[in-house]
Amino acid sequence: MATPVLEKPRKGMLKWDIGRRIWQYRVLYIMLLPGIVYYILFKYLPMYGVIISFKDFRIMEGIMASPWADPWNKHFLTFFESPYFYQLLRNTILISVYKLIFGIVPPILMAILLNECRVRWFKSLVQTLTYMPHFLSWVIIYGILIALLSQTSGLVNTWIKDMTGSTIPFLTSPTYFRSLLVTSEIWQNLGWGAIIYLAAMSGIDTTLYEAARVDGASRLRMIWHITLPGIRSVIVMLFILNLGHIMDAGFGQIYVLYNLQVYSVADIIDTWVFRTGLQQMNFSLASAVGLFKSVIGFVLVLASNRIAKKWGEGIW
Amino acid sequence: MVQLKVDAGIRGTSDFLQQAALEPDSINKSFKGCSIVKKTYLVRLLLAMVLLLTTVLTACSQGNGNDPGTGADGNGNDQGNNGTEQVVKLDIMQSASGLPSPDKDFILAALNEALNVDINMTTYGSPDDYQSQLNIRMSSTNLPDMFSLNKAQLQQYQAQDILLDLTPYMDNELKVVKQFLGEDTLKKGMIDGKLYAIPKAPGIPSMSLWIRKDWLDNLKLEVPKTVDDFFEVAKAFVERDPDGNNENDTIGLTGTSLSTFAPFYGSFGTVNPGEFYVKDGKVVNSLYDPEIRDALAYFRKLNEAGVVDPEIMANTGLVHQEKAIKGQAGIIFIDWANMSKNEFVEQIKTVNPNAEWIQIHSPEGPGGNYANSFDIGNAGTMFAIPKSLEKDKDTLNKVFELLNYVSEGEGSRLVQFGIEGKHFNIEGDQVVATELMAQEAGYSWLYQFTGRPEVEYLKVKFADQAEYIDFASTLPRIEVLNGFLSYPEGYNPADADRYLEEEFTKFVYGLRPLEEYDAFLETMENTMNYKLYVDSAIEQLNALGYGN
Repeated sequence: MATPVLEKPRKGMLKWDIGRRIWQYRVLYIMLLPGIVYYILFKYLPMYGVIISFKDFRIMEGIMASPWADPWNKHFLTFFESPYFYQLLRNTILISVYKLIFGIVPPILMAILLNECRVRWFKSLVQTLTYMPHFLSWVIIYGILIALLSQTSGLVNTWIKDMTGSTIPFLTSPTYFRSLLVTSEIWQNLGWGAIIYLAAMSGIDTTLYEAARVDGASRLRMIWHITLPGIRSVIVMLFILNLGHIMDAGFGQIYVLYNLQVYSVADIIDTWVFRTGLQQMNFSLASAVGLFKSVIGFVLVLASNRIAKKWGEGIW
Repeated sequence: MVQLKVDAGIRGTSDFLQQAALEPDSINKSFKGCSIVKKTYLVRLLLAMVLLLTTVLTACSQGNGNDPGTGADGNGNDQGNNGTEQVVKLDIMQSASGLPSPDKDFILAALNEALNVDINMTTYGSPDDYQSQLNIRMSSTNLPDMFSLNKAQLQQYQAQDILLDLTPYMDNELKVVKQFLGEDTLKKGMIDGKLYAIPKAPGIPSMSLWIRKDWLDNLKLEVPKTVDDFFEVAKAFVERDPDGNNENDTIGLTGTSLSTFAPFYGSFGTVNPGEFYVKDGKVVNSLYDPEIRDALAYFRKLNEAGVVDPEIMANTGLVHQEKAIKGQAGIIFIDWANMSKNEFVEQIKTVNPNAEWIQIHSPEGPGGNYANSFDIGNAGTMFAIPKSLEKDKDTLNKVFELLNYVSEGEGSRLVQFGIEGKHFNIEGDQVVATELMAQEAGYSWLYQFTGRPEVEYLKVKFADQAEYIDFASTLPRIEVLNGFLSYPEGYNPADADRYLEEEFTKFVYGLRPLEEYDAFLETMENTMNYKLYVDSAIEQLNALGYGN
């Protein structure tokens, strides 16, 4: 008889405790609310639309009333059986991986340089100038690239022509196209990426630097032994998050930049989906491919987090 | 409208808020000691959040704001209802550009007044943008009352059962339109014998080769007559410094992508790759023509000699025209409008007062001197009405009225030329343009929903360009039939087109030997399912009476 009597208030205590703590931190919870609502509205509710990848979606009939695809994986098969499937997959992953790997170091370097810069106005000037391109649309960047790299009127090609007598088809040659994609992407996001690292660096305990200085460490030593280890977790986190987007090689960029001559190295899953699925109103196909991409991204994030955890740096 | 929405939104959410406030209230009761003051504070905070959210939500739902059904008789405009006929709102969307703002749009004002409507016209410059906007509005079942589409879109939307079947209206409500367009033109908007879209009155071909006459004169060359002449001239344009600036900075032939070569297929007696036409009484596909290999060999020769703009594949939009205007290129394949309209002539003369562009025939080759092919089945832009409008008779009748109005007499002249007495005068039975027409009425074609009587129209509107129009429209051309076709199930045109264009590019650029053309065809047929398409296409065309 004694047990239930004891248990009851304890349970109540616990409930009351959680309730009170929520109430205590209510302001924080309320600040969290818009984020949660945003995710529910724009990330979770739309997930129900995934079922159209298993249906023959007709706009006027809506998602529920559209007939189921026959066989159920019809739209997935259309994608897998496309003569370009392997090329698309290869291009997507290669371009992504290049961007991921070559994109890690430049923003870190940038952040370190900015962090070490002691002239305040110069630092903020450089920071502003380098993160501006992040807000430019690819159409504008394409314009800039044409002005620089065009074979008939581009600045760079004019120099090359003066020196060597011939021009280099940067924009239309499969040899250069992926490098062009990667470098222009890195250029666009250099300053933007550095912001996160700068923020992480400002969180490093300054006493560490003082202690190192007392021990006679040079600036390079301090960067190597304090700054870099200090932002290691942020580097790993960004890397894992980016891995989740490995199937997104940058539709906006490639769609604007590519042309017939570079399809073989530049056509990615998203551009194919755009031509085959969206332009021909085959939304089911587009959504099936989207699902395929998400599943791969999801698995990659889970796996890489597992590995990172082994080194003690997982996100969760 | 938007203002109203926000209000409603706040009201709606404040209900929600009250409910939400109830909950903390009940929690409140269990926690004694929490004062009312704190509660109102919480409510205020919540209110702020919700307000923020509401703005986001209204921003998303704004598209619904111009829903024609509710728009006209919504609570928004209480005034102006006294006795006069209700103004009907018409929402029209099309893929086009050049529309002036509504306050400067005199055609809009005239149409609104003549028909007692309130037209809201939206245009999208890029076809891709237009397509995605249209798709978005379709999926939110908020369709415009009339919208433009091309043949492929017509088939897709019809398959989705979105379009209103116009057949029953043609002999009554749309009689005027039918009289203006004629049965043959209407056929282009038909699927299985039913009319789902109204095609525009047929146009006339406008493309031809243009060449710099002054460059020819500088180099003491004749206008090229044969394909060999053409090669020599193009080569001279690159190598012999035709602009006399002692710099090696000129291009022979420019254009966009593979269409750069379109005017030369006719010289070999064939048409653009993948086009169907009637040859010796049979429907054939040009990919199977032996002549197309000769054409490819010729393009390759041009390319290897360096006479073709190395950037044709990267030229998008009107970049090639720019190169011609800037004096970089000496030969271009383009329509008369983009070379001979006064504004462009002015630009050309500003760069170089001596520059003189002339049109030339496609060079004579083993197959004749046909210019680029002309697709007689191509309906171009058509206008369709959504099925959902069937229930809204008022709006539907106004759309019909509008279509009829722009198809004859006064209304037709309005959308062709502008306002009488201002942009044109009628002398006898002739329409004579005033100076103002060229300056102001250039965009009037956006309102030509049923097209226009092409030849008369162009003669009035582009009196200065008459000779160029005549030249381009009277060139000998092979008529192709692709416009009549629809794709069979199981054929993915995106993949096949990509392969076709990619391999043609390789052939032209010497990256694949021409001996492999058979292998190319084989891949086309087997991997890309091209055979399926060709068989179906021949069947479709035979059914239409071609090649029997």
